[in-house]
Amino acid sequence: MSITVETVRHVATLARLEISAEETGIYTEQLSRILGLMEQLQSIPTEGVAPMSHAVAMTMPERDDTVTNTNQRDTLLANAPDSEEGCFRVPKIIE
Amino acid sequence: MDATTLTLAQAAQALNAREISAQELTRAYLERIEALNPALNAFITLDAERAMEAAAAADTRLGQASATPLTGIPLAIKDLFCTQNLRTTCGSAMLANFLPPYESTVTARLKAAGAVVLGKTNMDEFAMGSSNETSFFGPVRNPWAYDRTPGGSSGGSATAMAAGLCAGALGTDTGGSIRQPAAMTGITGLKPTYGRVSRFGMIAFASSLDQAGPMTRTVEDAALLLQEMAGFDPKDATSINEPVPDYHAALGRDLKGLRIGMPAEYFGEGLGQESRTAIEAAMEVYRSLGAHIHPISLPMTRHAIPTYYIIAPAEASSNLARYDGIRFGHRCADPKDLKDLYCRTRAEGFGAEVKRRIMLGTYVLSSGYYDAYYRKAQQVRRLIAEDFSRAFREHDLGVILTPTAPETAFKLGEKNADPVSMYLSDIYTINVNLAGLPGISLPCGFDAKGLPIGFQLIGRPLDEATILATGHAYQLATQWHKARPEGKS
Repeated sequence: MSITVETVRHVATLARLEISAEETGIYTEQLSRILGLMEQLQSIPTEGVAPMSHAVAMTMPERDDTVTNTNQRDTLLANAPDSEEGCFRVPKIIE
Repeated sequence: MDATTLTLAQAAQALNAREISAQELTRAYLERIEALNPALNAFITLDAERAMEAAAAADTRLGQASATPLTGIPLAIKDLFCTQNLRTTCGSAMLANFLPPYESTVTARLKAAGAVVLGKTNMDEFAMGSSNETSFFGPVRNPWAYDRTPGGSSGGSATAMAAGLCAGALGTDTGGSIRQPAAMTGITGLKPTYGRVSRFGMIAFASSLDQAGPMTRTVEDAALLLQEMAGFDPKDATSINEPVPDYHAALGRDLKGLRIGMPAEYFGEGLGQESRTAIEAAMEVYRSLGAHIHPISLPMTRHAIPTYYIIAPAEASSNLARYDGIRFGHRCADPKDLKDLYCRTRAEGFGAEVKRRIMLGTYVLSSGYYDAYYRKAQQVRRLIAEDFSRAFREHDLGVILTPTAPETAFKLGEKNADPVSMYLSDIYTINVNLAGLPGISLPCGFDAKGLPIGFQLIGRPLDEATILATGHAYQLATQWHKARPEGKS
């Protein structure tokens, strides 16, 4: 399986990663090799096998809908790269 | 007495008998860290001042009814566990200044038991790597040979433990990240059953595989740490609500009649000759202790690497979407709009291996490829898990014995250029994560270069007690776990 430069650019956009022309070349080559390794799975018969998303078969536990978190706005904002008046600050998104 | 040569169990005894104070013990480790860490690079952040405060509190508590076997025990914590108000980087530039506003369940439990946190250990960035070389904070060196890696991703914890910079350490294991570095540094490393230990406050890599565990000098020490770490946590939706047995009490079990499975697929071409010889000698030890070795087959073994490298990156690409430069972590300078902020923040904050895995995960989950890759891998994952359950059931096995890693510690830089060859170094450990089983690595010899060799014991789900007892019996009969890398460089 080999993938194209265009696919790598598309995936980088989906993943919100800026990649340079040099990186695009490297990832195209490396991802093709890694995906080549994965081709062997196609030969395994899996019809009727239920996909396993977790190692432990369990149902999602439920709990009472009670408030356990106290207001920690300022503590949480302390890690923000940019904040103002109790809000996260981001670039303007509406023209 | 050099207190830093004691096992955790011996240190606990010495503390209890008041032969040494927690403050003396903590100071001894801090001095050793100061002397050796600049060359080893095992710690990213030290917390000496608070460690001494915790040690003083432990000295007050020792001798009181509330004391535990961990009261006053100095620990090194992988920098993946959130520690409140102590910088937690996950080995990444993205989190180089992150101060968690909350504490992980595991570290909270250990602190509540009176353990002393010395600092946070170096690791592959976001736990993605098998050599510790992907860390933003530079590679960790193996104390047995400074030009070699300690393995990864919990390489800082492994080196800290092997070099005597702590009495016990915490690692995490998604595809072998506790067991492989344990093998490469000559220590004991346990990955518990998925769900046995809470993941709350562990920075997520691949949520269906990640599990925390102890890295220690001995199996007995691992049992003491696991005792406090294990147990149900309502804050982790995948935490298993089952009673925690007394692991230390289980260590005394007799191995007579124990059935040990030896899977042919793990002893094929890829295994180095010296490792094979050492592991075969370990089997002889088990025979002499009255256990029976049964040849078994786990035919899906060879599909584990491709399966893992679809599932783990897929989960990682989703988990790491949270690093968007808005709420915490790195943000690029002067973004021109929101998309530019996301794209440049992530390009600057993540290293090459993390980006590669995000790309891979995004690709296998993307429209048109989901069924061919992700769904297929999840189906094969079930077949891999069924391989193990069938073998345990049909041969009535207590444990399965395998190598931990195909080779001993490799040189820094040796596998950097080729991600596929790096991925193959987890070939014997990855299956265990996919199946969610407990696994432990312990030392069983050295190669001609003087580098440690490890073997792995795999147990049934939630049966940590049997692999601990099996490992402990081996350490009572052998001396490998007592070897120290003193004077090596």
